[in-house]
Amino acid sequence: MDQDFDQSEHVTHEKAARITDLDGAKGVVDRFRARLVKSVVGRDDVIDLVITALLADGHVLLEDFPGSGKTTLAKALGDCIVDDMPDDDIVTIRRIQFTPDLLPGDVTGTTIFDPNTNRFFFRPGPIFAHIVLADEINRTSPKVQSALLEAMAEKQTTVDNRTRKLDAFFFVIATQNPLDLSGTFPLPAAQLDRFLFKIRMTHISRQAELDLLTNLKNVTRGAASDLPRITRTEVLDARATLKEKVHIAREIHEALVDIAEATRNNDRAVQGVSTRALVLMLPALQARALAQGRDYVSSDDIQALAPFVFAHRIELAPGSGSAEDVVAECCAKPLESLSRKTLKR
Amino acid sequence: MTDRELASSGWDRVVAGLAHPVRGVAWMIAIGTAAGPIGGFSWVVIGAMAVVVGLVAGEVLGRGRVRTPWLVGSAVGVVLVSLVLRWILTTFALVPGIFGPAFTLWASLLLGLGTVVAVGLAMLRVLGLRGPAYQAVELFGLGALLANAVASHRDGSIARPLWLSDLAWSFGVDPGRVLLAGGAVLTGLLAALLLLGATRRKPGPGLLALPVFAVLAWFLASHLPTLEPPDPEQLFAEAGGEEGQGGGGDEIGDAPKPKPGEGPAPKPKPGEGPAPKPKPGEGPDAPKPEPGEGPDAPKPEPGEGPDAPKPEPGEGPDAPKPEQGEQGGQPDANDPNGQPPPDGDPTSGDPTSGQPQEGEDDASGAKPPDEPPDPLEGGGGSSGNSPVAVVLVDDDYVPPTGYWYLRQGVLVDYNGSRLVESTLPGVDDDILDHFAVGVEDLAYQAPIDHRAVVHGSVSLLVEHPNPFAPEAAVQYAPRANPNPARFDRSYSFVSHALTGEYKDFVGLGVGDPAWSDELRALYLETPEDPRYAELAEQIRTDFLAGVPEELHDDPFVQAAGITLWIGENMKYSKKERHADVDDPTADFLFGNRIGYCVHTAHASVYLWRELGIPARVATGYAVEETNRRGSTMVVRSGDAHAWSELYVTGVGWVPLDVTPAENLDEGGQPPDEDESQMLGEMARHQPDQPQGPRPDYSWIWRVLGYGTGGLLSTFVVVLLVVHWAAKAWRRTRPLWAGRKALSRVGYRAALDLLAEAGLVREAGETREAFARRLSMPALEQMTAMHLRGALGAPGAADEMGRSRAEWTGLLARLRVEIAAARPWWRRWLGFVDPTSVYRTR
Repeated sequence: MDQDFDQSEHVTHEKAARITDLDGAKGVVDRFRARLVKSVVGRDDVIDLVITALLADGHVLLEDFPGSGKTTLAKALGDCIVDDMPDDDIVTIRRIQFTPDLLPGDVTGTTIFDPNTNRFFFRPGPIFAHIVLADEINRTSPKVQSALLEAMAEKQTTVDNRTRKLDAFFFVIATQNPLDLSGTFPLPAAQLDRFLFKIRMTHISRQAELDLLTNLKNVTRGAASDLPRITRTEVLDARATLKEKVHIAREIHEALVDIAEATRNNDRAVQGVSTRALVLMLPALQARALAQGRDYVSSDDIQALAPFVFAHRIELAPGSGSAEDVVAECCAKPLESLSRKTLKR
Repeated sequence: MTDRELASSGWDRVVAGLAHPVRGVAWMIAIGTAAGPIGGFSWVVIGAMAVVVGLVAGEVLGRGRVRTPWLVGSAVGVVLVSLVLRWILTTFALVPGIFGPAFTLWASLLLGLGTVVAVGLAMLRVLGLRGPAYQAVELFGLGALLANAVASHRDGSIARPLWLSDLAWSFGVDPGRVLLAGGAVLTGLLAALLLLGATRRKPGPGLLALPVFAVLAWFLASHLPTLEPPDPEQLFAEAGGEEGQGGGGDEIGDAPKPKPGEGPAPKPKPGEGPAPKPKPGEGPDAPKPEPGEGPDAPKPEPGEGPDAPKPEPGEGPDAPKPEQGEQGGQPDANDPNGQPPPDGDPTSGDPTSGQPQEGEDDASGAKPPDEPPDPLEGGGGSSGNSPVAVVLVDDDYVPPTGYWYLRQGVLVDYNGSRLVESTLPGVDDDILDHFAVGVEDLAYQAPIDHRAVVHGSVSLLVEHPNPFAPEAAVQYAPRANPNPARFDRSYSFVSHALTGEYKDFVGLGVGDPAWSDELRALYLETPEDPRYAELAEQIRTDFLAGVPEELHDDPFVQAAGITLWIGENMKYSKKERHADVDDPTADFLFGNRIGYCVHTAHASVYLWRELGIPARVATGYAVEETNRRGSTMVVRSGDAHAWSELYVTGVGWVPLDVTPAENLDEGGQPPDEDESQMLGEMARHQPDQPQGPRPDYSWIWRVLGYGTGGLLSTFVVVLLVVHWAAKAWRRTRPLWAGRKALSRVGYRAALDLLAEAGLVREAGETREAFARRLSMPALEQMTAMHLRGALGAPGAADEMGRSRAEWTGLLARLRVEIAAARPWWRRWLGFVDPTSVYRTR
């Protein structure tokens, strides 16, 4: 797959200027968005979420039908990245098509005997990439899923009892088909928890679809190719910067705790939101605030992200409708009181 | 999460919780007013308990999971079962036999009233909870019950509910006000229920509207004419009028008509009040049912006619209206007067003198000094049941004749046509032509022989020109008016009331030796018509034939003989007025012998005088002893009467009256006992200092009334001012707020502006989403600045407030943006709306 990429465009030895302030970080977001919007038509909301997850150092699970642009999105994302550390054997993007007979080694890599040197050497699997597209993740066996699990949670992988570090950039976009479930291995809750967002995509709008067909030639040719790319280091810097610089007020923390409390007390939810979810939520909020050009987290961010962060983390009682509804219900009161608080003091 | 849940926090929840007590109180009032008059205290208690049980059960069941059809079905079942149980309880003697009657009574009440009320309310609540539209049924039932309780009070009738109007009167308050106040409270309760039941909106601000309702109600109460205190006379008169039609229609018609204009009618608007009091059919008849009975008359003197005493029977029949009565009376009067009234009808009759006036006077009953007879007759004729006075008798006294003769005037002087008041000094000394201002002894003090001292008081419901009292009054004194709203005035009297029976007067002789010749001549003056003397002689001769020899010379026996003869030979009818002749008495006596009390009294007096017996006609009221209730005697317009009196030596003036043997008119209906009792209670009510001016407690009500109204008005005004001040404060705050607060108050001012224009953030909508929805750039910018100040890093607020000019500029831009988005009237409406700030959030 990497043959598709002209590696020269995605490799540089020059270090870009370090990003230390929010304006620089916002610049990263803007460049991502500008490129992605050009490449993927009619998915602006998903693009924003993916950028947010990328900057929040989280992973994304897309629930979507085949042919809805997942791969396009992932490829476009990979196309945005410039590897400024070309010597580390880690490429910008890999795609793994999960199948039932896949083995963990196919994902993580494996040790191979080299007759020339008479030694075993490690051949990295597709997981050693900045961006990994894990297609149809629920079609593979739990063994492979758990191999991915370690990688996603700890950014490291263990092969032959030897633990190898993944790159700090490591970002997984996994997909699964919500309908065609026969012969699949649904992700267990623990693994779902590794994904920051679970995004349920819908078909794009009629207008967007028309635009896509009309401009198909331009799109496939890479209309965004001449837009500025982002280096790996810039992304890492942006991550660090926003964690540092985007302010989260105490009221936001209170609202998050209230929401978690509400999900735990909700009759329709058997299991509420975990504390880890709240911890993961914070950088996501910051990333979104940054994407919105703010240096503070607002209730708007919570409202925008809560369904994607919390919905797949709560376990519903049978027949309780959709998790998104439950989350929205649990968010309403804390967010309303948060909004009112700002007028009082 | 719904709006309701969002709104239900803190204060809102408290307000919403008020719905239950409010509903409970409203229903208790409704059930109490409906059941109280029927079953009294026990019903009210059971009803209240049932209300509580029903509402609680309804709330619980309504929120439960049982399906509505099942609930309704089982409710019907419960009611049926309890009714059957109640039937068993009250039908078979077993239960009362075991548990006693008290238990049975309460148990049957519980099973009947209690179950029906409780189950009914529970079902109403269940339906109301599950289908909000059913709340209308509940509110309708509530309103209907209360309206029903006070409905009988409509049109200003003082009648019902009696317990309420009695209570109110006893405090000197118009029951109308009490009922209005009750209605206002109820309206408030209903409004509160509706507001509290409105789940979609916050009830808090809505409740602010209640004081406004209250003030409106108060203004209505204080400025609408409905509050005119009911005027008894007018009410009664009107009532009578209607009834009367039947009886004396024609005649009456004529007579009274003229007067209306002149208005004897003392009290204000006669026309207005629908006649409340009416006991429907009664009109025509006299209060005394037994016209014919006369004969058995109470105390018949040996010699006397059977009927002597019963004057009224005849009268009663018709004319409810005083006026009508008059007619009857008037004509006569006129005739006697010598006014040759063309017709009997006063109206057309003599424009001149007496008639019209008299008529009027009569109307009121006894008033007309001039023509006493009229009133009497009128009264008699009219039979009206309208109370005109309440007499309270303090001493234990029973008139031997069976009638209380309340003497108001006397007619002595023969003017060629009839008897009139004498101008001679010393003649009318046993009446008073004015109301005493202090204790006033009459010039003529009746002897004490054969008499008892009687104390008492009279409270006039209708204006009278001079006082009357049971004969023979010796002293009048003013008395505090027990209830100025009801009574015209009140006075006390001391009378030497007759105790001797007629037979005691035989042999005493007549006349007073101390009289001057002139006076004696006056009392013996007769018409020149010789037929009187002939008739008198003939009657005496005939009568004495059946009397023991030794009594033949006794004047009292002779007088009784004449009275009896008249009673036997005349027919009573108010309709025959002998109006258009020179001497109505002669026309009566030597004509068809149909007439009423004035005619018989005149005839008696003339015939007596022919026999040398000093006599006169007295006017006033004659109230049957059987109509006295304890110490209370209600004098009605139908009691007006004229009777003949003769002077018995050593005893004084003694009424010797006759009831015609035959009554051509119909009888009347008995008086309203409730009303009599109530009037008695009212008349008896006296302030602590009996003789002093009655302390006026009405100021309490004024203060309370105006105080409440004023308080409410003030409250509302203060409320408005506070709200507007708050709006102004919030509007101008950005101009002078500190830097730290600017990002908050500036944004708040922006939200206020939007709220005035009706643009409000929805519940659950974030501030950014709100700004995006309105797509007003200035608002979006202010939202960002505000949120950065509120949620941003420390110091952000300070930074956001650095530029006041920026904020004021943004606000100005926002105004422009709002103006572009909303019509001008909507913005101005919001500008004056004091509650717009409540929608800012």
